[in-house]
Amino acid sequence: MTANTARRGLLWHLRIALLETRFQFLSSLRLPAFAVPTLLFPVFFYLFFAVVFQPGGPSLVAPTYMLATYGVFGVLGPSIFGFGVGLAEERDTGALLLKRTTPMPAGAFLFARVGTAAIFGAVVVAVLFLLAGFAAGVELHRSQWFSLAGIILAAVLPFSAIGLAIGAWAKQQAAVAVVNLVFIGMSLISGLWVPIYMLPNVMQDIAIVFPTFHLGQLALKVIDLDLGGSVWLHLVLLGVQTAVCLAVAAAGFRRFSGR
Amino acid sequence: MASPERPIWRRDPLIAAVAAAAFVGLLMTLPAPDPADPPGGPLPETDFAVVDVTVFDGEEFRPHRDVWVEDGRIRAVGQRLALPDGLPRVDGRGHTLLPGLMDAHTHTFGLALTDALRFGVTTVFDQFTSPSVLAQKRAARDDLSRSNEADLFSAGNVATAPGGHGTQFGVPVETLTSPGEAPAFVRERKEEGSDWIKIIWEDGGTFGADIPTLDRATIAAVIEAAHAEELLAVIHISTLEHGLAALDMGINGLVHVWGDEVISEADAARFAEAGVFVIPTLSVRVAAAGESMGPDLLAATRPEDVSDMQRQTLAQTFPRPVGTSEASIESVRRLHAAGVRILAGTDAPNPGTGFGISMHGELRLLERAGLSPAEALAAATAHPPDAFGIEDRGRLQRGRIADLLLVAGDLESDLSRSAAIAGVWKDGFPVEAAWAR
Repeated sequence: MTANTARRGLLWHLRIALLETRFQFLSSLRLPAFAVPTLLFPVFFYLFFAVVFQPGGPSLVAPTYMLATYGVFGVLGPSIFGFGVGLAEERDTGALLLKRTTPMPAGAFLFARVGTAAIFGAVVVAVLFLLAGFAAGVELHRSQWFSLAGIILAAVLPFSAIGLAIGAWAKQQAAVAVVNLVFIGMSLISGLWVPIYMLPNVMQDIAIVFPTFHLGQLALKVIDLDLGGSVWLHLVLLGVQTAVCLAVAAAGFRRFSGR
Repeated sequence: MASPERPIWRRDPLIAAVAAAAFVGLLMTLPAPDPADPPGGPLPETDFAVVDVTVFDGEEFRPHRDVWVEDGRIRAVGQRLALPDGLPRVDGRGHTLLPGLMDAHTHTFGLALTDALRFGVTTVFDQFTSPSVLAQKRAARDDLSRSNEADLFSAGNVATAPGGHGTQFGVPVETLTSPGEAPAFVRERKEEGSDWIKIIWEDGGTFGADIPTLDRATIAAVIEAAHAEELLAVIHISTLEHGLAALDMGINGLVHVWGDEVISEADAARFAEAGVFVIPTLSVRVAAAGESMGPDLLAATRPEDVSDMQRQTLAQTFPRPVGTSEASIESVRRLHAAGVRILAGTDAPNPGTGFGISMHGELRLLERAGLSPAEALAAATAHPPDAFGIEDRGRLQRGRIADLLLVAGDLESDLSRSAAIAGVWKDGFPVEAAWAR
């Protein structure tokens, strides 16, 4: 009885969560349609725009700026594709129903999805940082490297919430299209591809509703290249946007469960 | 596959820990910038960078900039410059870096240029000094070797009437009395090395004296002759009426604002349309009105930072009040609002002013006249060389001379921080500065 209780304790949950993460990660890695674009898109973009076509002159603004924005972009992919497409697929094929019949707690399922996105994100960050530091010549204070990595990886949480909302509602066939639209649209408007100050003002005004904008600005703030908004405002708006996504997702799941 | 004795999940925490450690290890090996020294210690010379500093580039404040100096000139200004390894770096965080100040109205003699430089004034636009002084100092303008003096540009000798204002200081002055003498007078000044022509129009009326002065026809002829020799003509006036008359004669700039009345908005607009610049010299105007800033500036300064002459002239007063501060300041407000280019100048070493030090008072007076910190600083950096056609200084820009003033704090929010000098460089060499901690 005592042993049994211990098994259901925190350690037990952690083990299950880690195990599920491992399998989720391996299955994602074995899905080229997910793994290849997720890992290569941000890296190729960065290599292309920030390293190869680095503008002349003595300034390292471009590769430094893009390190922050392509870093955020790099975790957006695995987060919203993993949840958005993966979840819709598992639900429509019945895999999700099957998982619900197992003793695995729902928390482990979510943890594994977020964890997988974080692992992919960490790989992207590692490659981008190596390219920036050793190919583009970017130099940052140690604290800035760590803060930047931390903010970029933390972006997995709000981005996963977006994916969760899409995955909870969109049908399997529609999910890919919806996620791609959100993925490309949000990245572009929020200045993750092209610096936001180069975009028309109208797009800057629209960008404020997207978590990608706030994460981009927070990452840029670490290297003093943001638009100058308040950290707290970014965090509050990010919190509200994430809460809305989670509420939308919860409504979707209730609909699914009630069917 | 894991055996029953070694459950599959056993390795998961280890894998996670190793992966996390590898990630942290990667972050630890990424390149970091060379360390930068805070400005408290000895400052580097000729080849160095001030990093992550707020710059005032002559027009605007720009945060988080690097300024790279090479061979005494500015090599680059920008964000995140790719600076060579081993280049000495000054940590500019919490500081503002700006071009060395330009005093657009001084009279150079004695230790004037040393006194000015100690307070961050790296170039003076002198409005009357002995041509021999000008000849002696001219070469230093283009010489980027170590120096403890500000650079000098000057009108040299002035155009005034026999016995007129300007003749009382003991400097031999060539005077003139009729329009016909103007072309020869201007040619002589040009040969003597005058960088522009300064004309005196002063009848002493505002201070109850009766002084001989040039007549209008002669003034107009000198202006015309200066333009024929491709020199600018500037003029000393004491009344609004004379200022407006000089405007009509085609003057390029006024070296004082008047103190007798407030200009109308319509007349201010005429100055703007004509492109006439004004060096208000509010420092001397308020001193003449009996409200000298000299005592305050002295009180804020350690005795060892001021020369005997600075101490003496700052403490001096005019024998009787002339004009009002309000008329001068309000007129500057209107001129500035109309778009007239304002140049900061002190008229040191007149009573109530001191070489160099009074520029910091002048900035605050210009702020009182409605100029923003950026506008007041532009008046004290970019505008004087722009107005006098000099292109190698006054802005933080690639190729310009590295005459720099570093102050602690944010000048944009508090212009009085100009006195918190953390470093002065002349031609890329640090100089011993006043007020520095």
